[in-house]
Amino acid sequence: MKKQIAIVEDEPAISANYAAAFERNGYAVRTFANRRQALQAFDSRLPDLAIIDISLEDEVEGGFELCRQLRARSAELPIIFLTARDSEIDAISGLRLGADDFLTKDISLAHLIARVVALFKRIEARSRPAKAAQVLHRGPLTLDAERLQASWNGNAVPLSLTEFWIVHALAEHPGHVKNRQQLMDAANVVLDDNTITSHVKRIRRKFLGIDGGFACIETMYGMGYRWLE
Amino acid sequence: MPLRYQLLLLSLLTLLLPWAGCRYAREMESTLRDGQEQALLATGSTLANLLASKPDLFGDATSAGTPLDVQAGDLYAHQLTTPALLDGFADDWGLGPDGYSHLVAPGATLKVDYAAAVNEANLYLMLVVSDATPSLEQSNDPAAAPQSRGDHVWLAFDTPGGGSELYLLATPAPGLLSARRPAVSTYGERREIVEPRIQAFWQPLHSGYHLEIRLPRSMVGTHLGFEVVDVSTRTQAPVQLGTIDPTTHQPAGRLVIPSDTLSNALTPLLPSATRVAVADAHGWILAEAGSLGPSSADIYESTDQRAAWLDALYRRVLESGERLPARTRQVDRLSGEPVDSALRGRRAAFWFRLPDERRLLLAAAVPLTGTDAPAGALLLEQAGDRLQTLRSQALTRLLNLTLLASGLAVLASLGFAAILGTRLRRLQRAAETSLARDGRVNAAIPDTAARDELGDVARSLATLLARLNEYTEYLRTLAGKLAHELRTPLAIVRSSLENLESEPDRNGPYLQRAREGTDRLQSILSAMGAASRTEEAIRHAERTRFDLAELVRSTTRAYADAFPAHRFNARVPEGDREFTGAPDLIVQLLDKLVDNAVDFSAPGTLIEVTLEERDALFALAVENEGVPLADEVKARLFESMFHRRPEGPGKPHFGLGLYIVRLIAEFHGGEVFAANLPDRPGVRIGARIRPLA
Repeated sequence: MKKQIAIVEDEPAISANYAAAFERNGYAVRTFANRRQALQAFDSRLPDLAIIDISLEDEVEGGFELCRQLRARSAELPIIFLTARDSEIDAISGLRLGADDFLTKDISLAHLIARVVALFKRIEARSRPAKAAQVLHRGPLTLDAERLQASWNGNAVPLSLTEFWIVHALAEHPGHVKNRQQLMDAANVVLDDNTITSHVKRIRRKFLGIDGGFACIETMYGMGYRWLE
Repeated sequence: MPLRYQLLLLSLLTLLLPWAGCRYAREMESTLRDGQEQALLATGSTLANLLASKPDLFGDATSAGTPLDVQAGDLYAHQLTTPALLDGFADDWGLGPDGYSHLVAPGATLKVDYAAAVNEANLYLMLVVSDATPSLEQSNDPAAAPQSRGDHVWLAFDTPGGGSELYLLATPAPGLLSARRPAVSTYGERREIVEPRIQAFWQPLHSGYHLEIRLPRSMVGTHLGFEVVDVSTRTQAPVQLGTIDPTTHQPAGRLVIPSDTLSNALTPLLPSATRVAVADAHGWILAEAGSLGPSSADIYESTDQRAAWLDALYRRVLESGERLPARTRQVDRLSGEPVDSALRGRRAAFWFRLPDERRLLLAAAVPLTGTDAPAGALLLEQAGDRLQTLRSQALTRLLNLTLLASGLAVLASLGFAAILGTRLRRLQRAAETSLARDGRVNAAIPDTAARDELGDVARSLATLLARLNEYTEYLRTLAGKLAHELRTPLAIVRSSLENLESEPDRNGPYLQRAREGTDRLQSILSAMGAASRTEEAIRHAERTRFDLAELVRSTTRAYADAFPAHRFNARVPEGDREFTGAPDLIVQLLDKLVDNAVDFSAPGTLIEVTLEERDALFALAVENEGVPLADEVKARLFESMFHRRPEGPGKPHFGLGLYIVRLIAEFHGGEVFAANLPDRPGVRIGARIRPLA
């Protein structure tokens, strides 16, 4: 059975374009223009993945509210914010509400689809035993590329999708400097320098939340970042 | 001129107050003076009328109705106030400067100055004889030749009974002598009878002699005369000089004695503190009465103990322009105004200053009616003490009050001006600093709560600035907002194109160009939003300690990789430079500076990244060779959306790069600078930053 994706977006043209792209890739898509419509439909059936814009018609932060309500119904449901808003605060709020990723509308369809595929893979992977080949061990760090899960000394680190791929790109070749462009490519996003910086900052903070002595990501000023073992 | 001086000048106008007060007081005084003059003149007229109605008061002195005439031999008797010593000197008489009358013999061999005086009992006659050949009596034999008598004096007078007397005054030795009356005895013998009641003192001097004669008033009637006889040699005829008729041996002139009767009659009629003198047509005083009264204490010091300098100042200020003639008391004969006017038949009153400089004297004279011309004058003198005291008190108080008022006004004006000036300066400073060069608005305007016009100005200014601020803010965020708003339509176009691409056989050149167009649009939007993203990054920046020198070295190496067409060099102090701040932002700052340097320098040229430290202030700069900056460009270089690049293909520019540099520098408590290189054509642009606390 086709995976069902719900797109909650008040701009019909974008909605239709995304829907077309997903359908072309073999997904079933339902589009909603506002939160009310979406919730009504979700009452009967929850989608397999939700892509939500933050401002929905007359509700400036309707997307956040919808995310909260969806998370209340299902802890597992993958949720992606896709919005024109690129401020740090919005990104932090969205991720804090339990979204799996926070993307701006600059992203290309191909990148978007890649992320959706990755998220579905993660769900599937949870029901299967981990394949050793997909798991990366770097000292206390364990990265499961299939489940998109990171852990530090056995403790799960709640990374968003973008953050996971950034960590993955760095940890794959410890000691090698990855510049921003390489990190963006790894994460399938187009981001400007400031956003990369704040992503790295958030990643560090999340690891520091588990281990106060975390210092594995080194900033190489002017060049990028590298993973230290 | 500063406001405070203007107000000070204005407040000095209050000094008109004391001036006007002085004027008023002077006018008041002038009115009072007029009043006093009129009153005194009226008194004078009354007295004159009284005298006219009672001619007998004048006694015998003016019985003939003719004024005293010295030329005709008339003799005026000076009134003695103290007892006179018979010593040949008249110092104790109290005569005025013109107290003596003069007689000169032809050829000037003999000169006589003479004066007469009376007291209660006696009549005095003083003769000052200037004689080149003084001689004393050789023989007192009446029959002897006149030459043998030496210098001698004849005295002739009529008696109250109507008789006529003639006495000889001569002495063989200087000193006291008695008069002798020549007589013929019953036997026809000439003899001289000594009259002990008439005494005289002969005082020889090198130029002649003095003779002071005393005789009882009761002996003398209304006429008196004398004759000085100068005997020089036995052969020469004696020279005679005097007021005795040589043929009749009768006195030629009258003896005029000031009338006690008149004085006594006038005294009760006088106002208090008034002096009166009655003079004949030639000014000779016929009677005097009354006195000015005691001088009141110094009128300026009488009220209380004020500082002496203040008194002096007041006197100077108040009495300036009022130089009254001084007047001393005239003895025996009155002259000058106002008596001259009265003797010409006009009433007159004049103000004088007494010799003590403090008191004023009012002198009023009225004519005494005669048959055709004034028979004399009546002079009344009164001190102006009361008036003066009144005036000086009024003026002093007025001056005190108005000066105090003026002082307060000046002080208040100064204070007010100071307050006003301070407020204005504060407002001016606020206005000057409210609009920074970079267009940012600091809307802290003081004094907006004030309810006066300055408050209005401040409020207007604040409103203006607030509006300007809104506008500036709008402009500043315009790019970011625009980028944000354009993102959705761009997403529509992009996603549409991507869908189109995925359909088979659609990969024509048009699609490709549309893709390229959207990509460019995307990077434009990204650049437009750069400033607002940097501002956001600054808001969330975390400060850490790091080595600034190593950061510069490291980034410069990275630039060498990133821009292989240029040569890069880092001019950084040796060792490490600890710095507290946001390293990401500093890197971004350097990125922008290097971007700028690369754009404005030819390939192959050297770009230097420099770090200098001075007083905990770090100067980060990037130097490149190229066209120097014009002055007007320097000032605006760091403004948002200012750009000086020629339009052309390639990366879009919004003039945000150096604006971002400024934002980051200001976050680090610093500032930006741009200068041309001193030694070669090129530009040095950078920022001074200081460690964050």
